[in-house]
Amino acid sequence: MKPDQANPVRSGEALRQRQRAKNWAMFAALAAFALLVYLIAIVRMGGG
Amino acid sequence: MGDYLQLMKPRVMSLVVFSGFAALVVAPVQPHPLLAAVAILCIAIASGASGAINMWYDRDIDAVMPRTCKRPIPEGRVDPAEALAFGIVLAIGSVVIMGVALNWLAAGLLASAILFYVFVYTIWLKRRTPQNIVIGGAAGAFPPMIGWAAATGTVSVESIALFLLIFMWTPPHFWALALYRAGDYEKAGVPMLPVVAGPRATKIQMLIYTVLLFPLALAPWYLGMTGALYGAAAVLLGGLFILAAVRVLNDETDRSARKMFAYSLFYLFALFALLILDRAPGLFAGGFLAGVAA
Repeated sequence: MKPDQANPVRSGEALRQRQRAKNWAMFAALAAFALLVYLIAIVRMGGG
Repeated sequence: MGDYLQLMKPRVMSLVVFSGFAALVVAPVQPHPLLAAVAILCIAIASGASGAINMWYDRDIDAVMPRTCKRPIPEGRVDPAEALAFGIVLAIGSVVIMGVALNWLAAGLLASAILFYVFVYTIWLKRRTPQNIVIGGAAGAFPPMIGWAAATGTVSVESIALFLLIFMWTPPHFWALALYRAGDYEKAGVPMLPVVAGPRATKIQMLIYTVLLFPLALAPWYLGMTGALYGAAAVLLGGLFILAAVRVLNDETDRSARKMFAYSLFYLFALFALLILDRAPGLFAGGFLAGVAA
């Protein structure tokens, strides 16, 4: 039996932690994307 | 996070990015540094997206082969649907950003590379024909053409020469791996050339491709893209590649094939590194090596 099956509470906690990490990664990716679009717009408007 | 990074096949990505970067550097027109960085980022993300979609589609055979059974999907660390969504979002994002930041020709080539890798190689050819990586190898040959198009907005003889270089390099590179992994591919039902035609026929094909590659690797030199440093190195590296293929042909064990696989990676990295060194603006005081060649 896997450790997570033996302890469903811990399994739930691990899942929540994983989801939280995924949310933060998604936030970072979206922020980076917005910054990238902003920088591209600045360079393109400057004739780059 | 590590699982998603693994989905993007970072080792494959490094070669893809490097060849795209080299073409961007040697192109006669240089975009704004930020836009050049964005172009490289888009090539990297598109490569990762293709890798993720490939892992989604190949999850059944990946689970069977020892080399791939530890990947995130077969191990249950990433849900297949999530991997597919991840790949599609990255693919669309990379193409759109490339189009907006650089030009739509580069974006079109980037989209073609992704579509070719997913639909032509992964879904159509890989499980059907031993010529899978010969034709499918075109997908991996796109990056220099994309880098060149990102910088110049055109497809030219120079970028086609770089495309052909990688296109001809791919079969001996992959077949070297397939020779010592033939058992895995057979188990998974993938008709790689050593499985279908046997080791001897594969080794002869590898030698033919390395001989055909030799003049193609010199193309950047006689097209005037680089100087004598690249030309001399291409002769030396190409000669060693042919020698490696001859050794594989005469070796009944896997030893030479393993060495040739490692050498093939070094060969392509070295060629593109020399392309940059011999052409990078200002690096050799206006290309003094070109003067030596003249």
